[in-house]
Amino acid sequence: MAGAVVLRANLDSATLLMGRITRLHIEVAQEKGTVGQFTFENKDTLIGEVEIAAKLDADTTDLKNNREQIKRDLVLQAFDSGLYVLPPVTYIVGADTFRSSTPLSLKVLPVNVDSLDNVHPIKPVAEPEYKWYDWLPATLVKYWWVLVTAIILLGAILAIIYLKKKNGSIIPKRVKKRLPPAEEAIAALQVIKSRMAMMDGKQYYTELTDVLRVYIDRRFGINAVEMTSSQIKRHLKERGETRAVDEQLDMILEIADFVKFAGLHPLPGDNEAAWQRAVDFVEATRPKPEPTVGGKEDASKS
Amino acid sequence: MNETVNIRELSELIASKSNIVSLVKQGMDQTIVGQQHLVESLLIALLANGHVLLEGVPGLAKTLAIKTLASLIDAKFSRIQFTPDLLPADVIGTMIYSIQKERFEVKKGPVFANFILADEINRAPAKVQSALLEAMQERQVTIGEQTFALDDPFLVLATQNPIEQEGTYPLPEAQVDRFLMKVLIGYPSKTDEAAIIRRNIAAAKPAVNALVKPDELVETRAVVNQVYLDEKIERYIVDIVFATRFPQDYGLNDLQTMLQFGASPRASISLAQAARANAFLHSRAFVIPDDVRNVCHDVLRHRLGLSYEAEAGNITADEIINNIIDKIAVP
Repeated sequence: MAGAVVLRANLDSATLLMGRITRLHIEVAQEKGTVGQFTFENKDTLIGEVEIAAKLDADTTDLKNNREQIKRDLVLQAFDSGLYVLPPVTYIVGADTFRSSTPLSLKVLPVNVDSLDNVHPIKPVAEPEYKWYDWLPATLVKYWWVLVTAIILLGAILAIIYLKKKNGSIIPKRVKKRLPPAEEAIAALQVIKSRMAMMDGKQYYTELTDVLRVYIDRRFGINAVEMTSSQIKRHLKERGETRAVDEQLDMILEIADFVKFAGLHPLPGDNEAAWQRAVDFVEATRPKPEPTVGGKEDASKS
Repeated sequence: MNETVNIRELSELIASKSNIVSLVKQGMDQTIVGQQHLVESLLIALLANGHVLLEGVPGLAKTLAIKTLASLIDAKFSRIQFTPDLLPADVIGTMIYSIQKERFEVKKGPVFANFILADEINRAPAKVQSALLEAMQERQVTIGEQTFALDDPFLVLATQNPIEQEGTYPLPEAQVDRFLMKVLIGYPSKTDEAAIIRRNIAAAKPAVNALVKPDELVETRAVVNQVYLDEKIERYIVDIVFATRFPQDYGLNDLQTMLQFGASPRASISLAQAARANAFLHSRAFVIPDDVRNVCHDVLRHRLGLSYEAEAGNITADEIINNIIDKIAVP
């Protein structure tokens, strides 16, 4: 026969709101080593309306004098209102059965429900207050200053690219007023003459013909810079405006081709003669000033 | 004037050799009416040791021109009609078993000649085209285990028909680059056409006699190679070729979308060599920018890869070359 087993049970609260939970505390005091079993182990209700929501683990305490105490909690829940008398907790040790002595009662209280008078129709979906930046992502609104800085930087870069493309530099170029073609050619020929002694034949004739090509381009509108000597001659002959000095130009271009492309070294006299022919060509083809009514000439046209 | 390169001596040498060119030109003029550009291009290719790709509709005296040239130079002429069933062995030759000698013997193909007319080269598959084009490049042919050097002079004149493109095998870019020039042949003028009729219905046709020996031509080529090419002209050639590759660097931004790829370094070499031959034809001992311009279209037109944009806009290689030479400053 098992030693003295004392079984006690009590509730956290004697009243319970419908659907809520309460705990049933169970204490067993017995001799050490006694093996027993509660009868609710295989059940999920204490009585029909009071359900066991959870069975918590046992906690054993040594009471000394070869005795021990086992504490066990049950979580109870009820969904039907009413007063329930809970059956005693039963603990079986071998052939002996022990029951808790104190009867327990649990009152399950119903939940108050509003009357139908308080039921209101469903409200329509409320329109949120509109702000102009609502369409922007939240990150952008938070870090708006990043966007502003990026726009300023992009604008600056585009402005630099535009100015560089237009002027070749960020600083706007000062537009230099160009001299009339003949004046410009004569000035360039004077520079060549002053450097004649320092230049070799190839460089001298290259610069001399370059000046004439630019002059012909500006004076007659012929793209002489991208033309060969024979093309320049042909174009000028077709126009007929330079008939008087065509021969002069032919001689310069012919000698220049020999020096530039055949590696010939001209004599100093040849250089002088070519320079003079170039000046004669420019002077002869310089636009003649138109006489005005008063006999005065328009000096600006040259 | 003093001179570093002995231009005067070279001019005299050119004058002495120019009679060969004059003889060939006269002989060609007796047989071919009009087609001055074709005749000049053939002579340039002959002197520059290059090959020519001719594009023109049938009946424009392509075959007659090369046949006449071969007859005038006392050289061997072969005509290969390219067809879809042609085999490489039909061009270069093959090994044939001789029952009498009981061994394999080499049977040389029509490529073993001085002048070869590869008629409608784009009608044969790529393997046959490359067999001929390799022979053109290497100037030798290997049959079995034996390698044979091809005769000198060796000029291939390939023709292409710009119409009837169905069932043709267009020459790949790498192959077409091996031609020194691509010459476009147009219809003759009314006067020339009338002269062609008169000459062809006449009872007696002018006889073509051999006027030049192949050795003389080889000697003339050696003189062509001495024609002075100044570094200014070299730079001009390089600028033109580079403008086909990087048009944006020469202010030709519009061409950037028109060109898929530009001319190869072989184009630069060909342009220089053809310009030299052109200078020789004009009895000049040095190259001037006119020589480069004269041969520029023929040398470059087949080496430019046009983009889809260009093709959709009907932009031709010649128009692109015109744009380039009008933009590059002449030295």
